[in-house]
Amino acid sequence: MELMTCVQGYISTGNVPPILPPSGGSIDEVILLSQTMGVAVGNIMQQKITNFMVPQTEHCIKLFLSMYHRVDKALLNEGDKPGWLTTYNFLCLLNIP
Amino acid sequence: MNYLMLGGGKYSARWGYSANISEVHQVIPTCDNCLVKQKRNGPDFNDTSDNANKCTSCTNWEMCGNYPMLRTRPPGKFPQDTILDVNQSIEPFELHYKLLKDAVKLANEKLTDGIWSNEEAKQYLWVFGINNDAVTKIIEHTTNQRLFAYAETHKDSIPVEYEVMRCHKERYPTKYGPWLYPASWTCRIQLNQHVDVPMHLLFLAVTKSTIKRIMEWTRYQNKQNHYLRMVGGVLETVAKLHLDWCVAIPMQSSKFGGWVSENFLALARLSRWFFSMLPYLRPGPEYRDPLRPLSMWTVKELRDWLRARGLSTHGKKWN
Repeated sequence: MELMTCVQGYISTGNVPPILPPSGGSIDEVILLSQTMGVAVGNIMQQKITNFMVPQTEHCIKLFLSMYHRVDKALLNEGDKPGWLTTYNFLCLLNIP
Repeated sequence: MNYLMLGGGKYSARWGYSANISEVHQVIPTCDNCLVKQKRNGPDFNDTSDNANKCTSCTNWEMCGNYPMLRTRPPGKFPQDTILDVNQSIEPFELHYKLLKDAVKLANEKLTDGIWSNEEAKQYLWVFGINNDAVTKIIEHTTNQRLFAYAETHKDSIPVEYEVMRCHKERYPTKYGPWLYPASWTCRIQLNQHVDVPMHLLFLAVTKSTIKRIMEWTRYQNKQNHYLRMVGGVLETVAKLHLDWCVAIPMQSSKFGGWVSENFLALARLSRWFFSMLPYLRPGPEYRDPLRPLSMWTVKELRDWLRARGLSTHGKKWN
């Protein structure tokens, strides 16, 4: 695509789209994402494993993935694939517990 | 070498599973209702043994099991005689080496008997996440077997061809038998015991991607400059301490040039500290369209103009 022609096209026709307000998810979701990431990574890197740890870690990973999905979804353009789908490492986290 | 596709394959996005995830990706993440329950009930919520409580709109990150919504159409030339479902769909399944060996054995038999075409065998093995290298070898071996059997039967009419093949078989006997499974398929270690290296998976992959995504969020919110200064300050302070368990290096830009696993490990350790400052980020100056004539705009200005309006910014200034 030619950027100059594209911008010129909008301006010359007088059909200039409005400037959008800041997008993306809410700050609460982003903070929750960072917290769940810390907890998930912390659980996975535990040195000692107990019977309780396995479901607990699985729970933390799923919560983290859910929060990542929410934040990521709000940043995607139309037609984009979710980040957890394009970076397969996210799904492989589920293999750990 | 285990002859398995890595994450790039359509059916092998998750290691150890065969699932066409891109076709069903809408139902895999936890839905809003389940997320509320998940937060409230903790690990008990993930118990999938209770069918009555199964959500009908999401699988809560489960990739296989009794979820009709995970069933997908098989690839175009998938052999029909292996589909058991009445709706002609295939369901995701967990991979085991025994399952892979059975799949290769079946493909070998069907190809040798001439029941499947090469394309059908390719599609069948592709669903099991077996890579192209192995598929090519399997097809080569079965083709050799079939041709040699034909030449042997008709050796009176094609004696030269038969003799050439016989000599070739004598020299390379393994090429005229079933493809030999790789050593990793026959050892005692199971496929699900080969997990990703946690250090790489967690820090080079997940932590890096998540932090980059949050950084992108700050850019969308017009707060990236303040965010970079803030994170850079935290990392610089810690870097000066020369801690061997937290090797922080100052962040110069939103790129991570020269960063290695241990730097991302430090970033993960410190992330909750600097992300706690997110609510205090100040937005940068509000975007304004350039006042100069359009013909004098730079590429950056053109891209900023398009980005501010949510339009695609890909392309060159002039072609």
